[in-house]
Amino acid sequence: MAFRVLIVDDSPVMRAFIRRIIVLSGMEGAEFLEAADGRQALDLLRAQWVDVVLTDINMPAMDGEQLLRCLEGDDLLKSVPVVVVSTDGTASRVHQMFSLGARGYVKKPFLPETLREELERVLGGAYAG
Amino acid sequence: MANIIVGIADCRIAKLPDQVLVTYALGSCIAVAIHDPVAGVGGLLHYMLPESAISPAKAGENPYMFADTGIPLLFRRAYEYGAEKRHLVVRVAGGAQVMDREGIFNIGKRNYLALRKILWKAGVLVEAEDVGGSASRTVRLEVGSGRFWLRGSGSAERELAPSCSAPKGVQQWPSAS
Amino acid sequence: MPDSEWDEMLAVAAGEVLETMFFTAVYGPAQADGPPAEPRVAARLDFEGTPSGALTLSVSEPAARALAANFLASGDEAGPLPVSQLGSVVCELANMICGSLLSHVKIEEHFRLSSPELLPEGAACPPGPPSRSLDVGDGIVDLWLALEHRAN
Repeated sequence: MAFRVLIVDDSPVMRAFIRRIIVLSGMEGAEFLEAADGRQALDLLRAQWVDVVLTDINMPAMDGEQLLRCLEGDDLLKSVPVVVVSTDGTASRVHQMFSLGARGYVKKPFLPETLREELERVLGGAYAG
Repeated sequence: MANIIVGIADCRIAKLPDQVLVTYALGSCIAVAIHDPVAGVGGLLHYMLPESAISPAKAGENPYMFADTGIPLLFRRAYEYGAEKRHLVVRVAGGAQVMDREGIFNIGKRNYLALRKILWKAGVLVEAEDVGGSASRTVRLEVGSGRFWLRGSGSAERELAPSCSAPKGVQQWPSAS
Repeated sequence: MPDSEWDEMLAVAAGEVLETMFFTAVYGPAQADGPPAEPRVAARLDFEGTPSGALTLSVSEPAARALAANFLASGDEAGPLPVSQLGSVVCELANMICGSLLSHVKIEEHFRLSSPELLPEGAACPPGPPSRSLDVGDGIVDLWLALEHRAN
């Protein structure tokens, strides 16, 4: 079964940008799901298993903070690793998102390699247990 | 070790394990080092300027002078030696802001941005880089080991190791259960 | 913080975003007597915080196409990008510049950003000259920053 990635961002071109980085990082066989807001993301997560979620914060309908709260409140979904990808890089926001269960954080703008490295750190890479 | 000197606006490919590709005095110029550990092929390009459109005639004489003509040619020549894109480890050094401290022309930065654009469009990520600043750099690529060494003016030599822990081509992330 | 400092930070944020994700250098302020008016692609978003405000971004179409081609890794062989993708890229550029600006300026406050809105072709720009007008080689990026409350 393919490694499944959910990208949550209200910008379709940003979702494409992130997807390209993940493919170029060696995950050509990954399966990608996309959502434009937290609500769509939750619907997808409740319908199928996802191996990692990358989410923006500022989104309509349901933002990234609320999405994380929902995931943390779900016994099954709270184990899905979440990496936040956001323009908000303030210390308080980063701390807040990690407190809500995020495992990684990448501040926009970012180099492709920065996202790759953060994903490897979160998912274990060669150190996968 | 057999040193192969790569000059300014120059490019060399090598495949023997005792060969070392070296280029000196990278100021605003950029060195692009590529290495395929499976094929045992290494390549080093030292380019000066971002875009050949400013002088197509010069690019015709020496494509290695420019990022947009030199970088694709570096990769193509490496493929001719047996390298494969999916195995290539790419490292970058240079792009310093020398001579023009006001940054008005900022050739170093423009060289770096040209490289970034070309690699992104070609679908290649950089494993490690040491760019910017104001110091001149000297770099060398060991073809046998793939190790890449860098020295800034007045500082000791150090290795610029890839940031990713797993070898290229090996699935790095856990597969789904 | 005086408006002039906001404008300075705006230029810094724009340069950072353009270089990092669009691989585009800012050559400096655009010339006042630059090339004749070209078609533009423009977007606007609002932000809530202290202060609240809005950022409007307008990009000359050749520059917008070059920026979009860079961001989307699109080569010449792919043909011209659809207008919808052009608009999406300009919206995301505005989003990132605004977010980056607010992160630089206010270290501890959370701002809320609206989704960027693509402005219709020919829509009027905000009154007054741009807060910053940047030469990105292929064209001009104009930025208007409107602040509802002055922050000191």
